[in-house]
Amino acid sequence: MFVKRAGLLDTIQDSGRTGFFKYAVPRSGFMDAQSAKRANTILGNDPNDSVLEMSIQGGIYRFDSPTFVCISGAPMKFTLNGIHGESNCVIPIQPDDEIEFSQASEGVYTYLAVKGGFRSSIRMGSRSMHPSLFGVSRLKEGDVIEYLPIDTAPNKMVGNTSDVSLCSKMVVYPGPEFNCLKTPEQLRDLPLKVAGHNRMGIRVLPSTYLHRRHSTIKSSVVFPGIVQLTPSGELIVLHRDCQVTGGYPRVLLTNEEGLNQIAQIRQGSTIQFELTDLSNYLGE
Amino acid sequence: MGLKVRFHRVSPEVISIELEGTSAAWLSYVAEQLESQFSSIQDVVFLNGVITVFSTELNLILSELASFFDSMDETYESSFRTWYIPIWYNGLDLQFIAKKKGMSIDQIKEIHQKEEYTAIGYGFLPGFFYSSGVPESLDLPRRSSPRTRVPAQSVAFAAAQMAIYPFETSGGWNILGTTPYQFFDPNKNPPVIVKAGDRLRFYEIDESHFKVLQLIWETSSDREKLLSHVC
Repeated sequence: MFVKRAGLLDTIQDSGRTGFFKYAVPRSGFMDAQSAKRANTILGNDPNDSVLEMSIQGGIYRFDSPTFVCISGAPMKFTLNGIHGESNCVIPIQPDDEIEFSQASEGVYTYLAVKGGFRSSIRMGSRSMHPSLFGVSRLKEGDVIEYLPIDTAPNKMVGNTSDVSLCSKMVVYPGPEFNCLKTPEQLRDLPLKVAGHNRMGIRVLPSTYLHRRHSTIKSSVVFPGIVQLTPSGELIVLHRDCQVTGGYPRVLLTNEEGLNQIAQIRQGSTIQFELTDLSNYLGE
Repeated sequence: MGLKVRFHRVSPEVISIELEGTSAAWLSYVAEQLESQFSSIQDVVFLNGVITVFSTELNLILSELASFFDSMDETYESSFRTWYIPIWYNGLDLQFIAKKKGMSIDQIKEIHQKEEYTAIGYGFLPGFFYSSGVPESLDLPRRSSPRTRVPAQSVAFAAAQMAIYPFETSGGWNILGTTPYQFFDPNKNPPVIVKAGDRLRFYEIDESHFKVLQLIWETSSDREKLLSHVC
């Protein structure tokens, strides 16, 4: 696949790498794993196969050999050789076909899966692009991403017709330093504004000050799903590319579904946290 | 003799294990043992006396963790190495450090090379490891405003810790100089050489020596050997 024009933040992602936290290497992987896996499943791929992840604005991509693709995630209009295409279905591709994306009408991350997954380079067990491992943070114009040509249609997927969930509520559980929150009950009805968005974390601004006290903790281990409370009163929902250690109190925690949901909440939009007992999460 | 531990379940897939009064070398050893004994562990991280274990099959491991720690003893075979790291003292902060400490640059270099440092673990960036052992006579806090650009392979310190930046990045540590060696290689498995508990010694090289060693490092098939003695 030839990148004729790159989107705003195009990367190749799979389900990420494990086993390297001890060297401070993040997991990385699909920001909205549910959508990426949906695209793969519709094609009959392994759900963890590598896909193109686009953010807000997609690019123009030319395919040099026959295959099948599927587009899913944040709704983003696209054309195949100038003709409007449909998301969440199998699209046959002929040599020299061109897919052109416009802007996502809502949500943040849109995925393009190709039959069999992309054959881009592997670093430490994963194709997920991370600047420290690949030397670049995104695809650029002129890049070529390999895939295996295929011309037999995948079996039609039945059943999986669920679309991306653009939900403004997210389940959170008490984190290890939950007691750094002044009045946790406040969280229930508190609209939180998404103030910043990248692959490392999503910053949300509460409309009231949540600190019990100015609290710093010894540096401790963090991972995607941990919600930190910064000294200025921001909450940071750590995401797929987050560091492995951090010095802010880990006041809350969300689950895989929560990570997928907040990945799709745009900067400027609001989200609500639904505080739930940790025992519900642990299944005790 | 069992080991005093406290378990804290963070999520269905994450448990943190608090060990009392333990060194980085010991934590590193326990983490290694955990990984080799439980194949369903995906990740182990240790920091400040806490080992954090990640596994999608945590329930299977939980029942056996107590007996694992019962059988551990604080006496263990040490496999830790001493690495000799060349440094070209060309750091952007060298003059600032000397001025702040009321010493000459030569004195700063001498103090830096006299000490032995101990790697205590990875964090911040892929391949970025912290080391302890910065003497008070050298130590300074982080810079009040971080530099937007710290060159790759910078040797720097702050708040009693020494580190080598694996990439060009922003950072607030006081930069002494640069090493020609790269301590993180994502194309190798493992991608690192230094492990927590290892000792580090620095020795001074000049610019031309730097260039030679850089070339030797890039083409070397035995980087551990290069690091095992003064080159």
